[in-house]
Amino acid sequence: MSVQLSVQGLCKRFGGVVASDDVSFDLKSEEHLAVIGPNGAGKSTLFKMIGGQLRPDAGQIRFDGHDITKAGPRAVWRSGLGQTFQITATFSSFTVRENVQIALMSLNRQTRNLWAAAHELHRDEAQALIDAVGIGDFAERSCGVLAYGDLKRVELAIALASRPRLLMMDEPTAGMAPAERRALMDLVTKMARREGMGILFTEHDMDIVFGHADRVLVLDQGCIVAQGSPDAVRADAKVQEIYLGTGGMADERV
Amino acid sequence: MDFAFFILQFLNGLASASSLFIAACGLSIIFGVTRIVNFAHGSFYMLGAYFAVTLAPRLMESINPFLGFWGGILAAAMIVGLLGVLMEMLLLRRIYHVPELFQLLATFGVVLIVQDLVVLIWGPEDILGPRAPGLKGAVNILDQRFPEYELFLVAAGPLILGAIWLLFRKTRFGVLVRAATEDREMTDALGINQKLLFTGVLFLGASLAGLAGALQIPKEPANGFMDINMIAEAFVVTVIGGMGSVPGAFLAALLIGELQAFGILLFAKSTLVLAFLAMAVVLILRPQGLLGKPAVNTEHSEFASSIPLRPWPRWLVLAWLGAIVVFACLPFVVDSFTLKLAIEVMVFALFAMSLNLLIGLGGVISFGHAAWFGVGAYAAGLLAVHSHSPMLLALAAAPLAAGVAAALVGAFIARLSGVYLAMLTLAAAQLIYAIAFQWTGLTGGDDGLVGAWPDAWAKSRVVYFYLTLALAGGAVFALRHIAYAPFGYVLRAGRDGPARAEAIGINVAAARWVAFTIAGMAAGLAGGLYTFSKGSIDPTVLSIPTSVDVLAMTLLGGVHTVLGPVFGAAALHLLQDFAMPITDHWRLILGGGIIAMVLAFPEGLVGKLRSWFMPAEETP
Amino acid sequence: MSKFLSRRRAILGIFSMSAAVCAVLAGGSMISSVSAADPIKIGELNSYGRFAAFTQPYRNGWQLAVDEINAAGGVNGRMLEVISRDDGAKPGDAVRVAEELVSREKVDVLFGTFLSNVGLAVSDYAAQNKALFLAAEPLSDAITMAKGNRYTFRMRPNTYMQTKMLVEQAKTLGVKRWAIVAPNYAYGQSAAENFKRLIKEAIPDAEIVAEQYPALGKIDAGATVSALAQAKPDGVFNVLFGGDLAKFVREGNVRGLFEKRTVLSLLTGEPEWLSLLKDEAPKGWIVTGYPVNQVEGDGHKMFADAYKAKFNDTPRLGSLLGYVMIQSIKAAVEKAGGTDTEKMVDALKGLEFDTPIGMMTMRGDDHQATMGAWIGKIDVKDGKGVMTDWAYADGKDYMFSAEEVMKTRPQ
Ligand SMILES: Nc1ncnc2c1ncn2[C@@H]1O[C@H](COP(=O)(O)OP(=O)(O)OP(=O)(O)O)[C@@H](O)[C@H]1O
Ligand SMILES: [Mg+2]
Repeated sequence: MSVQLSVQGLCKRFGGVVASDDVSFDLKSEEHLAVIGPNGAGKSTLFKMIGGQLRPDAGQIRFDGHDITKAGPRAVWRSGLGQTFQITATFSSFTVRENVQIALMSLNRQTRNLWAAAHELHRDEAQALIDAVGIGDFAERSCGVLAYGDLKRVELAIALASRPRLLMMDEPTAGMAPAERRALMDLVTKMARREGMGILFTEHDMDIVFGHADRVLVLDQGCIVAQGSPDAVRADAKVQEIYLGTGGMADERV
Repeated sequence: MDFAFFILQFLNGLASASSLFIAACGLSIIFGVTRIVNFAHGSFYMLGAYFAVTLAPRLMESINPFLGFWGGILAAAMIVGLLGVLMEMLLLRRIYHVPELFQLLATFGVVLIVQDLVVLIWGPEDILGPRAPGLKGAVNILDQRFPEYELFLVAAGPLILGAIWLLFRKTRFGVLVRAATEDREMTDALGINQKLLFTGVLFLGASLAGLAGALQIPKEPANGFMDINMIAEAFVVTVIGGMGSVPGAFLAALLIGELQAFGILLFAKSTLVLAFLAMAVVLILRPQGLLGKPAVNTEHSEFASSIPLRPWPRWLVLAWLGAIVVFACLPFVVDSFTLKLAIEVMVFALFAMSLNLLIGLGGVISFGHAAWFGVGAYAAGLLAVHSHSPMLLALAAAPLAAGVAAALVGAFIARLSGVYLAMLTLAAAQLIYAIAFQWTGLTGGDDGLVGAWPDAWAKSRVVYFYLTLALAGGAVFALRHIAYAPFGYVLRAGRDGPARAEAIGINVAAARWVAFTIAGMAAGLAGGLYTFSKGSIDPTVLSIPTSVDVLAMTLLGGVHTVLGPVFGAAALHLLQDFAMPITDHWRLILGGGIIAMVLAFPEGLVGKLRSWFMPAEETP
Repeated sequence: MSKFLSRRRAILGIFSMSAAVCAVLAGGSMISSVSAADPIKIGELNSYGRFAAFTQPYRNGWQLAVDEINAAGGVNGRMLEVISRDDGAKPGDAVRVAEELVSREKVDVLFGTFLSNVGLAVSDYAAQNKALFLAAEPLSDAITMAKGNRYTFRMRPNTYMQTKMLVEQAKTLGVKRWAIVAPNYAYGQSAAENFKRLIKEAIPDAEIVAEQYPALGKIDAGATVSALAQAKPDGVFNVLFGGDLAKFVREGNVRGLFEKRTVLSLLTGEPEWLSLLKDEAPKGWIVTGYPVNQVEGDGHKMFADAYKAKFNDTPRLGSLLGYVMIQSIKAAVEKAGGTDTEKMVDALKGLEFDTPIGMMTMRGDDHQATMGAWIGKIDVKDGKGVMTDWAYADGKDYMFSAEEVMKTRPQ
């Protein structure tokens, strides 16, 4: 399998805090890679650098052979990388379906259209996507009144709308009940296998991580302290030390 | 320029810089902690002067001149500080969590009220205060006379800066103020102390403004224009220095003070332009000001909403058609003056709608929207008066000129957000105002342009009514259409979640820039129609009060409604028409009305109506 | 709530709001249908809110004249009825108010306004709509010259006339190096232009060595005074008034700007502005103004006494102006034999009318009245500024020449 995402020597500091310290790893195409680590380890920072929201101080990011180190979020998205955020971001004054329609309008470069009736554009395709993530019944509801778990699904549908080749999710199941979490991750991984999509995600729920990742990468204080198969990581002494220090592997946090 | 004169002019600059700094630093401190841009700061300053000219002479007579004078100054500052506390407790406390724009408007309401109250209490005539005992003379500096009081002022600025520095370093209150200024979240974590802190800050800020006003009395009679004159300059200083930064305000005051002292030698007629030009240049190069902290990009605009725009059902379309038909029949039932009112209502409806494209859809706070209305009005007026162009040509030029101007300014503004953006729109509007005001050769200065009447075929009021109905009405519905088009969706998406929007390929800044241009064009068309309905045009159409009027109309209608601003414009304009002839206290009414609106129904008339009539969104 | 019900209520809502807008508009027009009956209706508009210091005494002045005339039986047996409005101190608002007065209140004549730009806008409205307008306070030359029109007349001496009166004084003194300070708006600039022109006519080798144009109400007095002093002028021509003037005088006094220098100053002797300065009134300045307590003549005494009796205050220049405005309207109605606009316009051309300070004429060429001004020196007595050595300069001697009027005024 070829390398889809290649991260080399990424560094990022916020004042005195080193949020990312020489982070390097590869993600092969169609691989499902989980990044774990205690709070403040630098997971979100890493994701934001890949997604283009943050510019690394040093290092290089390549996606499908292209250098995207300095690309902004828009360019990263266009190159085929979809993204959901730790703090869910949807468009609160739109209906669930419209949220996805907007992504489709952007994909089809219709953002400057002053004439068409936006409500009707890509309606069926959007409906199919929200059906797929299990919120098809809420199509006409305002995102502003949705429960947190459902918002996570909306965001997922938005990210999937562009048919990305790599999906990057920062704590996709935070705020959901355990059964719901598993169901959602099952759904996403199944979809990804079917479409040949890679996944890069973080989670605090270790059951989810070990149940859905092909490979796990452990961050602590900005450094990669371990990486490998789920079983190997689970057995790693350093990892256990980190997690015992912060309350054990089952640390759950919203 | 000989050396002695240079030194003297430098000292003059220092003295005005000191006054400016004392006046502006309170504004900066208040903003730093409460995040409220307090327009009423100018009112505090004016009240300081009025209290001082009232108290100082009486105290000078009853105690002794020296103690009486300085006692009067200090007492005035304290009283104003207490008024600041009063405002905090009665008003600000209720609006800390409403969008910035409502805060700006509410404090502007206070400005209007104080203006009328001052006339009611102290009468309309200026009041000249006493001069400072012991500082009445002049000292010789390099063979030139320099007033002792000015020398005192030169020292007073740095002294106050030092005092504030000590206060911020050595007292618990000061430490809290600094912490709150550095970190917004912190103030929320303060809990019960927060109220005390905010009240204390208002006392400090207001009493500094009062002190600045009181210190003015040996130089300037207390008068009813002090508030507006000062607030514009204080904004310039605060923004250039970096909002919330006291040392920044000091630097900026120095810059403006010296710029004006030497500027009058080079550009005797363009002093107004200089300050705003300096502000625009600084903001473009460093949006956060000289010593300010960059604005933290908030996750979403404060105007984000949770009410979707539903497509209109057929019955609603029919209802609107009916309403338009009824309106179009007006010429058959009413007299010509009423038609004129109706024309003005349509013009302001379009103006308000154009602003709502920015605020309601884009979440972009524009505090200088009068600029585009004015550019359109002037473009039409200049063509009609100077080159006698046909009216339709002039009307076509209005939106074009305004669109170009808005696109130029928008290119600098669109990437900013929040208060900085609002301040830059204000600066741009003031700059354009100053140009219209001071380029007398072209624009006629404050005389304006006279004689821009419609062509013969449209002279009849009825014809002009239908022309306005067609153009303004058409533009209003075009703006409405845009709200439902992909561009309108994209604009709103950028408002609700800029980070999310960027992550699906939407260029939020570019969308805002396009919106800025479209809004500018629509406002420009409104301005052009306005010119021909009045026959004349002058710089007041570009001034801050015009921007405030249109904001009030937009908010009164409701920012999250598509056509609400149309009703807001109608309501406010008609109210003004009926109230102005019967009362001398229109500003009191308008100011009180604005505050009541912000407090009671920020969702606006139509928003309120919708929440009554439409079923609420059910929550799962 | 059923969908049906909410829809009906929403239709009702939209309709009720639109209907309210229309009803308010239509309702307004009903008020107007009260037809003009017996009294002569006079529309008045001025900046009562914004420039109260001048306009309130002015309102008292016209009120006094109206009351006196009505008590004496009115004009041609008809009572005078003044409908007064605030013009908002903005041209746009003023034009709307003027229109409301003309088309809704059906007034026979309009008068008033304070600011030059407001006066110009109303004058243009008058020309467009063939309504008669008598400008009271605006001083801009343009109202009767470059932008003059058939339907507009002006009472007060314009900036040209007042400047000419002052320059005449300078001529005898022979001062050659002049500095100008004027507020940077139409009135100030027009006065400065007039001064430059007239001083060269009066003293051919005069030169202007410094000019300062601070923004109205925003003078940086210290810097302005030292900039003027730096040029070492022998004379200063001042156009500042109000708060700007007070600041300028204080800084100038302390810094010795006025020592051994001739100062000519427009309007400074008017009680409206002079009273503010109290004992700091700049002694020796040659000014135009109104020495209200010293003006002689029975007419003026009667006016001043009646004013004091009614309002318990001494008249200001505005009071005199307001009084004279009504007198001119009365004379015009009498001469025209009614209130027909065209007849009134014709009557006003060359109209002679009596005032507390003697007969005046409304010149037919440029629609400018021959009202003059008092020229004198400022002195301080009993802690108050007063005018001394004053004389009344009759406006008719200082007006634009007939040729210049022909050249400048649109025909
Ligand atoms: N914008 C910022 N400015 C300053 N410091 C930051 C910023 N963003 C992150 N940090 C700091 O960088 C470090 C890494 O933060 P990051 O959000 O990447 O952690 P995380 O692993 O995602 O934690 P969590 O599990 O809580 O989401 C933390 O110490 C955080 O405080
Ligand atoms: Mg994180």
